[in-house]
Amino acid sequence: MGILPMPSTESPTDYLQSNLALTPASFPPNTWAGCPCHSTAMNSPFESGLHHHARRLTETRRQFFGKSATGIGAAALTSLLGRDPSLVGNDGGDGLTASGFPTHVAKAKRVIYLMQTGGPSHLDLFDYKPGIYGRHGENIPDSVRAGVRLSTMTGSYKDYPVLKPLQSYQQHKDSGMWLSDLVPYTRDISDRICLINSMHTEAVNHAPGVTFFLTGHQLPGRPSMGAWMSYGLGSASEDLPAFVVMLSRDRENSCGQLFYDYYWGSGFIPGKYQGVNFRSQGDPVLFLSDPKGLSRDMKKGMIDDIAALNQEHYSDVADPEIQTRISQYEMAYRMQSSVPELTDLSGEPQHILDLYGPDVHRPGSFARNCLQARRLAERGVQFIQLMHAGWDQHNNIPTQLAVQCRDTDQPSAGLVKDLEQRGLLEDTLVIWGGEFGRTPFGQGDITNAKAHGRDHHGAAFSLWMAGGGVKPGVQYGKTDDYAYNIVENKVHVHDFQATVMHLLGIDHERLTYRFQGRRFRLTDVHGHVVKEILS
Amino acid sequence: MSPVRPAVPAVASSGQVKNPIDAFILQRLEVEGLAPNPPAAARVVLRRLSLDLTGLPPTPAELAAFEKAFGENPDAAVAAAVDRLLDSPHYGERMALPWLDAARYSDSNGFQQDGNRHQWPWRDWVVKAYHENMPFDRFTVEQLAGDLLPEPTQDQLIATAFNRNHMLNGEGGAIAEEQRINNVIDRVDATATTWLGLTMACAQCHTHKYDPITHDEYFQFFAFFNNLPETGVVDQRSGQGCAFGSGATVQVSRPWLNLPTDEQNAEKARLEGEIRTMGVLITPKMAAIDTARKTWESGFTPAELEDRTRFPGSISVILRMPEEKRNENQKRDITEFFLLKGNHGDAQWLELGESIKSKRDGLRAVNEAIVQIMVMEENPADKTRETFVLTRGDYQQPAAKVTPGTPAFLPAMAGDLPANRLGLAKWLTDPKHPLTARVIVNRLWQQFFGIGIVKTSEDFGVQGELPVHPELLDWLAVEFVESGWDVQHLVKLIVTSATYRQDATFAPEKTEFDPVNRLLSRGTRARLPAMLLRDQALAVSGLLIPEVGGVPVYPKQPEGLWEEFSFGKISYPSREEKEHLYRRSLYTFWRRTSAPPNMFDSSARQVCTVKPSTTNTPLHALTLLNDTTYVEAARALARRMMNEAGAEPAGKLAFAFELATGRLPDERERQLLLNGYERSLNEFASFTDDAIAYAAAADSEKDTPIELAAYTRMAQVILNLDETLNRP
Repeated sequence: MGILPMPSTESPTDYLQSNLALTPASFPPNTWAGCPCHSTAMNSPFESGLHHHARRLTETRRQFFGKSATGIGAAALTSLLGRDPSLVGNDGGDGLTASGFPTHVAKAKRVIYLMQTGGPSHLDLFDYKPGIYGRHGENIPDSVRAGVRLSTMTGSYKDYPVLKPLQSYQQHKDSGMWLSDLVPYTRDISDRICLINSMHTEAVNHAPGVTFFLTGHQLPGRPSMGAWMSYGLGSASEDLPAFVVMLSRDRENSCGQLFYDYYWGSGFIPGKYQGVNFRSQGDPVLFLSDPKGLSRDMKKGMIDDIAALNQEHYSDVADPEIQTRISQYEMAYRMQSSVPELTDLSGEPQHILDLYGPDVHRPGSFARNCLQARRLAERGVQFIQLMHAGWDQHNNIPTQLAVQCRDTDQPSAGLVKDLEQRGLLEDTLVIWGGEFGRTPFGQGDITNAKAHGRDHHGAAFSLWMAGGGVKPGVQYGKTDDYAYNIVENKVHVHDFQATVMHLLGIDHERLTYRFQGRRFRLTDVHGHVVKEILS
Repeated sequence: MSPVRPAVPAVASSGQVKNPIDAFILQRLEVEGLAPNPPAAARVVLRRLSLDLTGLPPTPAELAAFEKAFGENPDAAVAAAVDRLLDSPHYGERMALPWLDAARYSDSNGFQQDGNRHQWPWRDWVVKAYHENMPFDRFTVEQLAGDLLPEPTQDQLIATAFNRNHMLNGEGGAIAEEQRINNVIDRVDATATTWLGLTMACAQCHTHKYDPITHDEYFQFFAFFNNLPETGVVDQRSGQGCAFGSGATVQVSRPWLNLPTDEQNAEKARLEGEIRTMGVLITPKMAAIDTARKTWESGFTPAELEDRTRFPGSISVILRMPEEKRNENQKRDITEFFLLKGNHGDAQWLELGESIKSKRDGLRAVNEAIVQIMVMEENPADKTRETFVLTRGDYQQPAAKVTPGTPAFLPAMAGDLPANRLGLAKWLTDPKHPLTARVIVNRLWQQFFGIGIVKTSEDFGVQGELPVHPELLDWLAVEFVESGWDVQHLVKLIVTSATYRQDATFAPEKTEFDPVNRLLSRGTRARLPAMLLRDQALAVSGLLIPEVGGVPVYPKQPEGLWEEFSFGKISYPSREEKEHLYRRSLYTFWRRTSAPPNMFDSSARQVCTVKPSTTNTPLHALTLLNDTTYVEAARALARRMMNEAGAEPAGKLAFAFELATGRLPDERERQLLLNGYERSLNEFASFTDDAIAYAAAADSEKDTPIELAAYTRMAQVILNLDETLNRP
């Protein structure tokens, strides 16, 4: 195989057509079988046959230029979807957005992802090991630890003493689940959640671990889950973005991790699919506020003037992108009203505020963001990603874990209950979990009552989901007696991602995007839907 | 496989051919039965040229002169304007932008700690290289292997920072070797994508059946970028030097190059001299001081010596060493500490200690302020780092050992080339290389026409798209090489072609056939990149500080963004000097965890990016309408309308319209502008306080706040017109 084959026997026209004019109908479905870097299904007419496995097929010129929509129609459609038609080439093929989704009936119309960065300790909260309390201080046998990669912080330790869970566990009467006294509110809704105790990841550190969960790859640069969803399903809201992110951190500012914008970035797919960060201070959306002294009416007049002049110019140059620009300026104006309305909580009654706990009154708190998440869900936002930091308790777990739980337990459970009472839970998928768990052995001097903790642990940890097509009141997967390794029903990060996509009506192998010569997807070349937890 | 110059095709409409580019384009259009658009009007041509070549709009005076010359002789007028623009230092700034994206240039390291870095001298090197029209082969060799040239100059060493612009992980638990491997992988990716238009990453894990690069070959290529004294972690953290902002530390990793200024060298020499003098002064007293110090030291228990509240760590270490084991530096440090803190009761000694300390602090401050740019450096021959094939790309699974080499599907390196980066760079710039020239001319084409001749400019591999005009691509590649890799020659060919100079009006019959204008039957109309939108607004309003190069600057951004991303650990330095607020966008400090918020659609500068993204969202509208910089630009433009443009409102509005769009409004547009202005006057008439707040009128302007506010509002309208936002 060469590169840049430039046959002199073909005229340029043949050449162009032969390489660009593939349609799904003419594409042999199993051409790529055996190559692990690509999925085998061909779904989008825009995923044209530029792939290295593709055979050359010819079609008419109209099919090359026209693709699925033709002529000015295509250009206008391009504009409505917010792309710059003069620079097509950012999407896969000549594609405008992904088409053919949902691939099946979606159980979830939206996702609220309560991302808990830092690594919540599964053994302390969700993975009940009654036998471990008696082994406090004993070394975890080498046979149990064998093969698990540790961070440089504990990688050279000689001893790996069991650190028993900080508090005791109680069983919920309906679900039968055992959950720690640190998370009583979550225990209270355990009949509505699906608790997975058998998550695992290869990541050892925070940024790669979070990036892996949210983008399917440990290094930055790939689209995040919400961006994939927007790309696949489009937007359901007229005046709010499809993908919104809100950030919070532990109150004590003790073990927080930074948040990088690639956690909600669009990677190599167009920037319009990236999450919009709703901030807790200043404007909720950047540049939302008008300049001082400019009234709403005046702003409207300004938008109208711009539109009228743009319309004049459109009559000269006929670039359909001008029409898009006009409509985007109008939407910007509408967002200036819809976003403040969204973030104004004054209409929320006391009993609702109480559901989320006292911290709901503090702007920027996780509790406040949980309430905002419900309001966003009500208004048609499809992917709501809350980022909460503060679970990284290397040397202060006895004091800090309880603080974290106080800040997150009640609001998370309150959100599930609030969604349920509004009938939203059935088609909203709520996800609660971190990028990994924490080691069952202690880090630092575990006899020092205050200053010790646990290191990062990716070999086994827990995560829960609720609503949107997952079985309620179910526990899935098992770990060994030390909660160190998984012994039953492993769920890899890519499996989790495949499952979330499935619930949204997206076949994770089929939502792909061509970049640098290969078709990328959220789950890379991996991932299996965990069918056992689907309702 | 190396490009051979194809014959320039004969075309029926030969009268429309300005240079061979047009012959190739017209030939294809004739085959398809399409006619090119007519030539664009003079003002459109100059606006297009100015924005494409300098990123700044033409002034009304330039437009008027050009229009006149163009009326007399269009080709001569275009040639003269192109020469003028190519000579501008702003040409270097404009051309550098895509190169900075490819090189993932940033002023911070990324990842958890996101420490600052000092790579900006490399950015200035790129601007200067374009400005001086450095031949592209030299541009390549210096960036990939400047350090391996015989007796490299400082500039040639700075050039190698291209391969050190990768992210750098300072996170506590990061595994050094894993991070080091990630750095090497990033160098492979950036180099292969930038020069070869090849994505090698697919071969990182294993060989793919149809991929031209095997797993083993990937690691042979990797070996070129593996042999440097690099640890994978941050090797040095320092305080706030180098005009960098609050909170962040500078974090650099070996190898680096110190770039002291002359003043810093002089200051260092002065302080070092003074410290030496202190040494001379102290010598006669040393015996007495030593005796007192030993007595003082013996007064502590071992536990006290370890007490960090009593002694700093480095001093505690020395105190616990036997006297005879201490080296000269340690003896010096402990003596100085004793003079300051030793309770010896001798005021002269204390004064001596304080004086030395202040000079040492001064010296440290000077040293910390010295720019340290991370560059490439080869390990010495006896310390060559071996490279192994990594199974599944995993650093924990090294397999067979490999040596540096290029992929077998490309022509082999000439036998006399060294098997290192210098050999690689020379191989890449061999006139017969099948990829380099094609890849580079394709990206230049993309820069001027929006889409490359090969649309997948990041991927010329068999997975990429095939060229829409293959013969033109080859013709340009050969022309480029034979011109001596003369970038300006190629740019000039492109922008003086009739193809480039076409009018951009859309026609339904053409749009139906070729919606994205691959065949170039019309001019390319495109929204300016956000960085240039900001530059244009500053230029139009007269605020722009056009100075070229230097340390990164801090224009205004909404409060709290850096704090939000760093949990308050890093804050944005609030600067009020216009030298910070109104410089060109390319000098704005680029923080990887929180990029400048008004530069939408920009590459994230995390990995090599060679294809820009242009989207159109409501968030962009919010930025352009409400961001402080744009509002300030509107206010300044309103003042220009008030002060520089006659007495009549219509004339003032036309003046601003021309500044922003490059042409005068037609009758209908004039009317719309005037109506808008009069409505604004009415709207503000009963709200003087609002008018003052909105137009931020100074005391001296308070007799005309309503007018000023109305013009500000109209300036906002004009700065937000689609025509203003587009390069025509």
